[in-house]
Amino acid sequence: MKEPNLITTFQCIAIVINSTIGISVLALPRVASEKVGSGAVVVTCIAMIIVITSVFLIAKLTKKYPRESIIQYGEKLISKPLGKVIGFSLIIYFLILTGLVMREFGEVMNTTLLQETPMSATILSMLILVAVATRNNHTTIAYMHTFYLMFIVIPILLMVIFALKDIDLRYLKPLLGNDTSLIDFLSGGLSVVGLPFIHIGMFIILVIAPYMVEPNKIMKGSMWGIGISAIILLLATGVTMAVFGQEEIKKSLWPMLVLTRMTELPVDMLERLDILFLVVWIVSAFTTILSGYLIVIELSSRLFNLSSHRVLSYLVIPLVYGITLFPKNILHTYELINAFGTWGISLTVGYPLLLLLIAFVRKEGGKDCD
Amino acid sequence: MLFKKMKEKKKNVESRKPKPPSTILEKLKDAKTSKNLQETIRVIETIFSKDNDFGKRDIVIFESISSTVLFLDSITDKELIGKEIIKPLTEWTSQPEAMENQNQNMDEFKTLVVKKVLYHANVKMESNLSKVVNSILRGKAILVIDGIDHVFIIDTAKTDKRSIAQPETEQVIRGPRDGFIENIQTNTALIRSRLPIPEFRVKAIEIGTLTKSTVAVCYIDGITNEALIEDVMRRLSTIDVDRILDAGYIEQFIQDNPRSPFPQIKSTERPDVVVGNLVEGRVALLVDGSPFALIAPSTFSQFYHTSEDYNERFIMVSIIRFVRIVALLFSLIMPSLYVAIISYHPELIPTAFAVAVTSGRAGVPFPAVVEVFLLEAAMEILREATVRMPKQVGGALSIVGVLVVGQAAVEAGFVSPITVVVIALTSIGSFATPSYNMAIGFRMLRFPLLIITGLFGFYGLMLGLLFTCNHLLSLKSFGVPYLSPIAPANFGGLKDTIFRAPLNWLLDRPEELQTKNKRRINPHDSKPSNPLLGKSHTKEGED
Repeated sequence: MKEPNLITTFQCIAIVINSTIGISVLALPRVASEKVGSGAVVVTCIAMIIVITSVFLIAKLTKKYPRESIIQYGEKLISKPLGKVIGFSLIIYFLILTGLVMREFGEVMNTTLLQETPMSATILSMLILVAVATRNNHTTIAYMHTFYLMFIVIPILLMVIFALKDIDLRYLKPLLGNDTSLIDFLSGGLSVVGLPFIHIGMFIILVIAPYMVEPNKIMKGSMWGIGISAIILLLATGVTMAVFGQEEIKKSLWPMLVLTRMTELPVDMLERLDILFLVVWIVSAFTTILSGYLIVIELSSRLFNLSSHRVLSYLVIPLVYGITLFPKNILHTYELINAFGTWGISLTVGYPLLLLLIAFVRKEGGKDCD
Repeated sequence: MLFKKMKEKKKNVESRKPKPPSTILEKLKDAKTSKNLQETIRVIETIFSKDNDFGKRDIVIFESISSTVLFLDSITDKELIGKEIIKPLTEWTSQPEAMENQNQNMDEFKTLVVKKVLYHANVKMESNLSKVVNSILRGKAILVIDGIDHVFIIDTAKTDKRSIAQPETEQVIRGPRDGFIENIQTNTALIRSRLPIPEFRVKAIEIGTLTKSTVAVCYIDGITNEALIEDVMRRLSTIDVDRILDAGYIEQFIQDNPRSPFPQIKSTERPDVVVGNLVEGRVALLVDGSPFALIAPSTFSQFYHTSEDYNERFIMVSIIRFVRIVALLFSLIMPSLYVAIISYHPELIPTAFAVAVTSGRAGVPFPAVVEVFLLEAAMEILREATVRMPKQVGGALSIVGVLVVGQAAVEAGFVSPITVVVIALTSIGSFATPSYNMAIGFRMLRFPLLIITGLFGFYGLMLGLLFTCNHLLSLKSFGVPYLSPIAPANFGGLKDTIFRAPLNWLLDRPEELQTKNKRRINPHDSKPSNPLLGKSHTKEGED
């Protein structure tokens, strides 16, 4: 029996959630509280509002051009050479981003699970896993996301519930932080939006949109997806803040990881649970990197007019691996992520926004089906 | 030189070219039976004259016409030939008028023989010699009558077959006890007697150029998706091989991914399982000579379900299915989990227990991976040995295995006692899976998983599991996703996975099969009423 290469709305929600919750969530509370201290929850809120708005706009754009890739209608809207140049820079950008997420993942693994294993081995094995997974068609990749969804969302919620007993609400006050200005909040929000998993989560919508069973439902799918992951991210940041307080969070690279270290089962079954929770982070890192990798090869196959994204699955491995080797150490990795992420907003959000504006002015594209 | 090489190459190609399966039949392809009795017999005798079991019986019918019955006595019922063919023919005394002017009334004569003389139910006339020879090979008796250009083919085939017995590989506590045997007719009968509807189809095709095995494709018209039937027929028709000795051959030729460790077509010995699957909208394949029926498409969840699951009440079944899933997971990850904890993250072990673990491993010379690997390998050897041994030796073998591996190895300090416990759990876990081929897939997968865990610890275990899951998610069985209804999620189908809902909740056929007729049960309020309470209550129930 023939199986269509299509994605349903539920699968779309799963893809967006899985792509958005990545290994960088571990660092999220630290990034959020960097500038505003105890105002981290508000900063995350601001960031999520920005993200949801941009997802709304992106979904709006894809609805105008169902069954077409951003590369294709980009070329149509802003002339072919310019479209090609921006498309190419998008590919380069996501290549770098995927490499940096990969490196971040390698760093987390190296500090927690595999202290003595060379990082290149960890990274390469994960890269091969991802590359093999992208050999499948979009439907199968969507199956993967739906299947792993429960292994990501349920443990994170469990972790939050386990941590509830250690909460001290005083850590959340003052809600707006001490001696902060609006600029601090905005720039804090931007640096949260700049975290790579959010870019990947937003942009994956553009990649999967042409494969939707019902192109109209992309709005529903992406809004539900981003909404659920925004709630999860807010919960996770809030609980971490409430358990540790800003001073403690500043001291550690991955505050969420420390949180899992604190959790205990009411029954004395295992001595520690953080290793088991790390397993969850491996799955969530896999799904995020899978999405990033898919964005890179899907966009490239569209740009170079290849028959399928599968052609590039193995060819991109050395490129991503080369990028993972670039940062000198973990701090340098985060510097790069921050720099690339914040500036990348103009590319990942700005470009679709520009296209939407042009399409709006020209009244081009298919009828906006609402 | 070059010329010589080319010649050799040509020779090679020549020898690799598929030959017609039978040169004798090929020669007789267009030959017709002749009116002359001796001529026809001569042709057939040249083929079978050297065979010990070739039988030839000359008789005189209608008091004057000589005729001959030909058959292979090893695969025919001789009593039947005597009673149903020779006896009526020789006892019919009235001389037919037709014989006087043969040419005109030959047809009349033929119909006389078929309609009045012969008692047997299955008589056919044939003039093509290759088909006649084929019929003899299929156990039919040939009646050749002098002066008639057709021969009569009478079905007298009889081969010895065992009686219907309880299937050994799929035992149930509660449920029917009959199982398939090697005879396709009997197997078809077992299914048809359970499905007395005109929509039940049994399409037969012959596969195997030498064995000419009959493969029957069974399905129910109006339920099974036509695209699926077409796909099955197409895959079957592409098989070009000299032998089909078991349903396993067919399975390997038509499965979607031959490189996968997981079976993509379920095989069963039980007619009730086949009927259950036909009714769901699947296709079943019966192969002559094999007591196994194949069911396509099959999904992962079918391999831990048993037919008994539907005969018991749903709560018990759901719990038992959960146990089976845990057992299956145990058989896959238990050794790797143990290695990951012992050699990478001993901090996970509760403090009170840590002492016991370390003291148990104190004298063991190997790292945990090597220890587990050796013991696993020993366990596999033991298992394989007990499977192949005759039953009498098997008992002795398992005693030796248990004593040597279990007791002596621990006492010798070769392995730690906890390792033995882990290995035992793993093996028992794999035996708890109803499907043998699925269990073996998982059992073999745990070795690569063990190696990668030895290299990367918990991360390696996760990596291996993700690889396995990704593979499972990408598998298809006849276009149906292997893990459905879990991924792609289908909430109606989830009622019959690990949890089995009560039978009257399972309203629809599995959605992934895209059946033509979706509904299986008409939902109605089926609350049992108490007949002893009188009319007033039953009226309420009816409302």
